[in-house]
Amino acid sequence: MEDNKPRIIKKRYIFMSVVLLLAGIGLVTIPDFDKIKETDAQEMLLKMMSHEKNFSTDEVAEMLINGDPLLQLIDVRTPEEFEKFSLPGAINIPLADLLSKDENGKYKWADVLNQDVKTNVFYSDGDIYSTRAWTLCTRLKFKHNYIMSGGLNRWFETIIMPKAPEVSASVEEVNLYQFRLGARQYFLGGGVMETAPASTPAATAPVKKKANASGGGGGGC
Amino acid sequence: MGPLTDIGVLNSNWELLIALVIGLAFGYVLESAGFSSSRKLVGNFYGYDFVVWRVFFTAAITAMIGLMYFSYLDWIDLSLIYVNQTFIGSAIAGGVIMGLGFIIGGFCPGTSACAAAIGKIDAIVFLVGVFIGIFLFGLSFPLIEDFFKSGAMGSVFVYDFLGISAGMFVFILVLFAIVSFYFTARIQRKAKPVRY
Repeated sequence: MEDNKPRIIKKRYIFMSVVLLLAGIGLVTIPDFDKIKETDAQEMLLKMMSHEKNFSTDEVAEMLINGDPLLQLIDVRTPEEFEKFSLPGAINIPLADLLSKDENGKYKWADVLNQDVKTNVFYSDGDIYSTRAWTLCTRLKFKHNYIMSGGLNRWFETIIMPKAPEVSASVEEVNLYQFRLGARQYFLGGGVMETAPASTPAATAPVKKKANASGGGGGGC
Repeated sequence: MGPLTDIGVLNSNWELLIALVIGLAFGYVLESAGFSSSRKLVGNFYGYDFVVWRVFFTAAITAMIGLMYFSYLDWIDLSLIYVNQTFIGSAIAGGVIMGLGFIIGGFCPGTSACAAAIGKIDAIVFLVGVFIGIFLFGLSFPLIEDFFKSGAMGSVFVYDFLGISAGMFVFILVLFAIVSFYFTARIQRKAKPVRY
């Protein structure tokens, strides 16, 4: 019977209570720490300087024409601008809304911006807003985000109104021009795409991951 | 075994085997601690044995403190831990039903499996009841579905809900645990002893 009646205070109980209490006090007194896991500065710098974050407009056009299911274009301009014009299949996440949080304190767009499947390509009118979006996401260690170099301005210069190459231009330049003409027809003229891409050097499998941007078309900044 | 299979140290086929080993160990420890006795378990409610209260509360605060320090030292990313969503209406109803079942039957689901494994007839009957309950719940689910999903609060933490820091919440809980251990020990001392 006596087993059922522990002495109220045993030494080991006191010891355990003190340990738990000290651990609890420790948790209250330790300085607040930054819970956001950020990419460290050096890694960030390397990523910013690398061209791997960029897609040229030609590469984006090619992925669109090939119907690359992994491509997710993200327009970071305002909803009004997005309404007026956007690239096919693009979704609109205005830069101001990019890191907004829902009622649970989680990033509202985290499912889109931080995932393992799609290739997110930010674009804006030029490079500034898309690069900001990329920088914010990369600092938060969000994965698989890229930038369309030159934005919509370069899209119009290269895809919609391509300049004819000089007479002395190389075969590559002529091929690129032919591809752009075909792409232009595809994006402006209802999607008939039979002639032009035959001569493009890379009209094969959809581009899955960015390997080396410097080699791509007329883009890379 | 999330991290080990995710980082490729272990093939995911091992998961079930590891679960089995952990389950056996858990059952063994429960049984050795006397948690397969329904008289010991319900002692909680009648005031003659608070071991269950002490064990589970200590386990909870120890795990909490450990996780907080691990998170502080960057050994674990708490945001990767899955947190069940809270449906406050069904959580309260479920708690009441579970508590009543615990007092009446003398077991909680885990301990009943443990006691059934060593051949206790009351535990086997209890387990049969558990499965009948599960079956009836499944059959009547369309009727209670609206209530089941009522009061959705998302994955909410108590400390966020109260607007205090996680560390402060743990500290308050530790204080509460120690005070409750002291007073339950006093209650237990005064209670009429039960032999089991």
